[in-house]
Amino acid sequence: MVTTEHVCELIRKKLGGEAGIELSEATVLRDTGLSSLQIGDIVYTIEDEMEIEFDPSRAADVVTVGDLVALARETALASAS
Amino acid sequence: MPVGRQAAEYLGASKQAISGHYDLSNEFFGLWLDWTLTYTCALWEDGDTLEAAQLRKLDYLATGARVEGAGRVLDIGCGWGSLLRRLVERYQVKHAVGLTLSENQAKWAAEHGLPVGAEVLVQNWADHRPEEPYDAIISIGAFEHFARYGLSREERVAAYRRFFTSCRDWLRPGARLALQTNIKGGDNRLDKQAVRDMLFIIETIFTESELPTLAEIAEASAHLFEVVSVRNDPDHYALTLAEWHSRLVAHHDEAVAVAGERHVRDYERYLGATVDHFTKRHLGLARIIFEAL
Repeated sequence: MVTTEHVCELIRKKLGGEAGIELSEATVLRDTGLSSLQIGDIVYTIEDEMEIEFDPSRAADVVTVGDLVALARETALASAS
Repeated sequence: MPVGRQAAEYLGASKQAISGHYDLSNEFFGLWLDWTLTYTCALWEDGDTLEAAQLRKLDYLATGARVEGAGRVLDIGCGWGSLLRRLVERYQVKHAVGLTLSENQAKWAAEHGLPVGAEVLVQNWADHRPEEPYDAIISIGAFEHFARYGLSREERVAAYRRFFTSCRDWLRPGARLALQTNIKGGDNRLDKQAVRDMLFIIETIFTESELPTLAEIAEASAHLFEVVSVRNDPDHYALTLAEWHSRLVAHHDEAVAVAGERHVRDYERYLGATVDHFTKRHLGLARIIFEAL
């Protein structure tokens, strides 16, 4: 299951280990300094790790770390049922 | 120096980054580019060879910049010198000055007979201090190196504006600047492969580089230049890249011998992937004619 800490870890990795801000569930992905390509890569990495596929329109609505974690959990549950 | 100040004075990709790409091997590029080593998007018409389409592109920009019989023309990012030769030989430009940061390109241009009146300087545009104004400026496929990935939009526009300000200062009022550059395309719905290929290209092939949007170019040039014409030719770049990719694949073994297996694989991936990026409008190709105010 995807956790907030795991998403924060993926962000830190993309930023080269140094996030300019404290990362949490409420962190807005755009505010981390990541580009849209890098955010897209994190989204696709989670898809690969969990062997799920996000609904593109719902993935486009993701704003915060928490949104991404919630979407991953919902998608995993839906695909398991 | 604070990070903010560094960014505010960003003057384009470093010589090391440019060398890392363009100095790989002249022989390598010669295996898949046309014989003039023109390494930018061509301008195609039905039945064209790559060579003919590349010359048409040079002519489109040269004509747009009104270089016929000009005294002094500047080519910013002159590559291996194909435009400089065309300016002197076809358009009777008396003094064509080319700027590049690649020692290999300058050496190749010198060794392959630059005509009298054409000159290549290994110099960043930001360090260029012409003694006299130019009658026209042309820049093809260099603008992509004027901002690096990771700069904010504001920092990118500021870097572009420094470029446009210098160009305007080097031109007589009413003289023209012809600019060709890759731009971000209108369709940003990238699938997984496109995201990964683009990040690979940014991190491995064109380091310290970034593509502008058309809006950023318009904003950066506002009140310095009037836009005379704009065309966006993504399909022309898809065609050009497909031709380069096909030539490289056909010369794979020779390319490995001069550049090594890893580089050849990297270039095959980048050339093949970008065909798709232009076809799907993730990327665009702007050719813009400006008039100095």
